[in-house]
Amino acid sequence: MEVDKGKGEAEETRKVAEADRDTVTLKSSDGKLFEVSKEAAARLSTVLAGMIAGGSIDDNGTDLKQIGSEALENVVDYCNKHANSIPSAALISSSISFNTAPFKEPEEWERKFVDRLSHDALFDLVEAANFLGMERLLDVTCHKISEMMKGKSPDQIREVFNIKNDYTKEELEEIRQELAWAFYDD
Amino acid sequence: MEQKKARAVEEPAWLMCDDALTEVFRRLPARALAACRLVCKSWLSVLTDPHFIHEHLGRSQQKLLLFANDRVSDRLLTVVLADDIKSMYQLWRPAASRSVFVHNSCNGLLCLGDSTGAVEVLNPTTGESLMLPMPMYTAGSSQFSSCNWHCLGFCPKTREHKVVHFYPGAHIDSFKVRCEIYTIGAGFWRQVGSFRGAPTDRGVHVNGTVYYLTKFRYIASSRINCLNLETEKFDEMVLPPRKSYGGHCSLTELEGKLCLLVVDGVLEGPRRTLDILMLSSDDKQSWTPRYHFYLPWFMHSCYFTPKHTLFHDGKIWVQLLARNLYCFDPTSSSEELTIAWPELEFPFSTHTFIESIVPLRKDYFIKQIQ
Repeated sequence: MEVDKGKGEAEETRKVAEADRDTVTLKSSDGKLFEVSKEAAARLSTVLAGMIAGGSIDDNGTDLKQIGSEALENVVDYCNKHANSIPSAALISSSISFNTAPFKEPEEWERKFVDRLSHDALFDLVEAANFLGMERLLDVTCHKISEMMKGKSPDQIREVFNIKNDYTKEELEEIRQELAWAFYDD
Repeated sequence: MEQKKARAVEEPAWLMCDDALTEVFRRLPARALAACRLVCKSWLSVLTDPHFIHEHLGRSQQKLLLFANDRVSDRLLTVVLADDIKSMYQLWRPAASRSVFVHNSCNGLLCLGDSTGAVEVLNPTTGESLMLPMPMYTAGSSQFSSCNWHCLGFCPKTREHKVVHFYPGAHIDSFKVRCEIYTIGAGFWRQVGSFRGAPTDRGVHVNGTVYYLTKFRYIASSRINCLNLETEKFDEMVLPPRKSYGGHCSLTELEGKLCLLVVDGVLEGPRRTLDILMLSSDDKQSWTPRYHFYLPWFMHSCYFTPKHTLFHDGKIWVQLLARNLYCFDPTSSSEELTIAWPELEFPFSTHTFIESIVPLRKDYFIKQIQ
């Protein structure tokens, strides 16, 4: 009886300690572990916020089977940088009003953050941000992709992103006939 | 690392699930999406999804569009589009020399007309256009005709775009008007019927309904006729009670609501004013005075209401003459119109406009994709 009580108390203290920890551990699909500030993770990702609130965070590393280590490293890097750079009040209000508020231009550090990524890493990061419900990171990565597309013809977009053209000649001709109007500058 | 490189050579680099791809597209402007439609079929299928198109439309910012014909070139039909940040761009169409004008604009589409009565629907953002078959009644049309006009509208429920055409009946009967409808994607005009009361002005499209004024003897006995684009049924409303309807009144759309413009004042009296009454969307009876301002001095002896009165960016934009655009700021204490643009070298018409990727055909190879 006495022993059991003691064990229960130990369990309790361990749980309290866990709740007090200010980081969470995330595990990528290939088994690598990453530490991220709990406060930043909850603030930037709706999915992680839900997991933290629901107590489904695993102390030994929460499994994120859909995200590779490279993308997760970038996610964690972004969260940690974000935690240091933007006052939280401004950020919370911007994430709540996201659907109605116009897109806010990326900050200088966010620009640098996405500029150093390869195409593959950038696309993987978009997928990870989408999976984790990180609206701001989606905004920033998609803004980068839109800059890469801006003013480009379909041919040039295929070249930049290495996409195979699966239209037949006839189909493209059919579309072109419908596009009777054209811009002077194109 | 080497493995990664090898993958990029063998397969397309863009390996993104539709979900994430949609997130990227949601954040791109319509001009960029127009090019994306032609990149590959899987992109096209995301970009022609009606739910996506209308969600994207809802996020786009409204622009002010100035439309003009460029008369320099003979073999090309060129139109000049200018937006409120004063950047201009030109659209051209080969082997066409007619001048065109804009009947109206809806969801990023322009309903264009010419002097022969032909109608073309154009999406200037994608460059896609659709020439409608000649309407049954083709006595030509003009930008200013009140008895023969077209209006493009949208039914939110069925997500269909429809062009309505009002024209006089076969026997010249000033109390009858005929109506036909063309649903984009259908390929033909349908007769809807003949109705009592000839329009005194062109129609206005507000949220799935086309409204137009009909006059019986006096302005005060005018009716507002409404054609619901979903049910294609007619209804009518009386004008709100008012001490006097002065010189003239007309309809317009401001802030997504139907508005009545009333020019007040007598010929030799004080300066004329423009009153704008707004109809509450859930009650067909309740009109509230919304804006009131003075017309400029040169409008002193003028009876007509301005053709293009629009709401954009918190201000009322009024086109009084062919080359001038005026602006009224409701937040300022002044009741005067100010000049919004310096006088342009060419005549233009003003419209509110949203860049969109609304397609003009129903099945962009969707069948082949599935």
